[in-house]
Amino acid sequence: MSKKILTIDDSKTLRMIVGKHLRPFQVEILEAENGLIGVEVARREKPDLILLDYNMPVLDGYHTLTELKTDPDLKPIPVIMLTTETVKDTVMKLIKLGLRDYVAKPFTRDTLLLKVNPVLNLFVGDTPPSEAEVASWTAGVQAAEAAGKIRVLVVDDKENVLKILKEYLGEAYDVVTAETGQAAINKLPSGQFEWLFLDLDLPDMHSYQIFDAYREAMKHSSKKKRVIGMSLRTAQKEIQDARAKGIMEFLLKPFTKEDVQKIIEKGSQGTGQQAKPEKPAGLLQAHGNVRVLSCPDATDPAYAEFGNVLGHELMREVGNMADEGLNRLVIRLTPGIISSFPLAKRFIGALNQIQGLGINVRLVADTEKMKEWLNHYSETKELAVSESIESAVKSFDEVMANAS
Amino acid sequence: MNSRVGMHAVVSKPDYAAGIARAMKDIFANMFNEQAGLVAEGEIPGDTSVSSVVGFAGRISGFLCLHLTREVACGLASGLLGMELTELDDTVRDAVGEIVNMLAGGLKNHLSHNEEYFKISVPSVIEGQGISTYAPADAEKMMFGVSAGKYQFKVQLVVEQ
Repeated sequence: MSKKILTIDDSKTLRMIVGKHLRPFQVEILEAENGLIGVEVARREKPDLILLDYNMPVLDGYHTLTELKTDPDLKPIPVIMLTTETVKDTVMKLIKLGLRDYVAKPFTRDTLLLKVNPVLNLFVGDTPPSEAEVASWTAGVQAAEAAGKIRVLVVDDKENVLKILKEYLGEAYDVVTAETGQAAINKLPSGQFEWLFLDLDLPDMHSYQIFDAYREAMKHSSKKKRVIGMSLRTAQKEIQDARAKGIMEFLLKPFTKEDVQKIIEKGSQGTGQQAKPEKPAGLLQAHGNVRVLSCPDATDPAYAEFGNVLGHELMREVGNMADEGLNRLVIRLTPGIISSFPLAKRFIGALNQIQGLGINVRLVADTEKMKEWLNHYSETKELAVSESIESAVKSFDEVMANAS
Repeated sequence: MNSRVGMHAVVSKPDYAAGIARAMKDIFANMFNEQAGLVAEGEIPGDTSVSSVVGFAGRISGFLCLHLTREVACGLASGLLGMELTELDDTVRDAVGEIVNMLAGGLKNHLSHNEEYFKISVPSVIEGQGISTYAPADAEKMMFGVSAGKYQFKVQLVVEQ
């Protein structure tokens, strides 16, 4: 499903310019010629972003923004103003109302793209792609879709690896190759590649930068996303680190055609560990947009195995959660966790990794002893602590409400 | 001449000219990838028949108007939208309306400090040759020529302080 952008502007010219710059990114452009119609369209279509003019007849930008930000259903939709009004007083007034950002008219294509990109993730990096590059991506995606092919990005500095993998993947895949990390980053527009085969030892940049960029680029994509780390069989430390980072499938070099096919089959059957789950798996429970991990207590049958679960299994689910664009996690502690030193140590290690993925964590500790224990660790003492899962979940919403 | 004019200062003609020049330069650099500059009114050729105007009111009141030939109006709309437009239709009218709106916004930003110096109306487009405008005797009346690549036209500013 493509992202929707609603442009509310009485100027057909501005609506056309916005469409010209953003439509090539395969987004759906909705238009409204004044604020009154704009609010109606927003209610009906729930766009991902609203671009709003300030000077308009019927309902101007200020009053439209007020309408949008006082409606609980519409309030979360980010609004960026396209305006000639850059007088400080006016801008401050709008930001207080909940305006996300503004683009001063006149603006260039690059200015517009850089302002909307943090909301829409249309491209990776700080430099917008040229019109020709976007056209080439679109053509590539459309050609692959027309041919029923799945797009794969293979990143490796060894030309031979790229060649062999392309051959092994065969006709069913549209394989795009990159010999450097930077070349890979440049090929990562939003939602293009379902598979990423990533060499874990690139000379020009750390592979995790590409992994992060891929996840960011695919954050809003409904396509499946699978990352396969490529590494030497002997590089166990590298593989271990990659697992901790959230890369769960590996193609070990040197590999055979059968190795590649096994990886593909596994992923295609939906057992690939990066495949997006339809709903949260057993470990993490959904509370709206928040995920909750309830640690077992010593009397719980799951307690004995929980030390193992805190490793790969938890990180896989947290990785999937991040892939879904979710970044809020509540962890309910139990006395059983803090009373076992090895388990507590693993918990702190897991917490470190989770925060490294950019996940915001709130803890639930309902005894004074647990709260005191949390103060002993630098990883936990700065974290917000609640007395119940409900209040922790609610505290995320409150922070969002205060922020807006 | 200050780059921005104080709220209570009387704005001089050179200040208005600087505001118009700066705003015009921004519009053409950002939206047309062209360099723009002010020239003498007499250097602008042709009889204009399209006028795009916005009014403003506040600490100063008056109007700002672009006077264009049909060809320049169509050319500006084509350049702005990246498509070939040769007829003076609603798309062209809207485009020249947007240009005068951006120009007024740029002038407003030049004249305002942190507070809003004046409010701008929505633009209107008038067609016809030999139109005349009326302004009170004590109003400041200015006419500038603008040259920006292949585009040449006039900008009229009438203000009362």
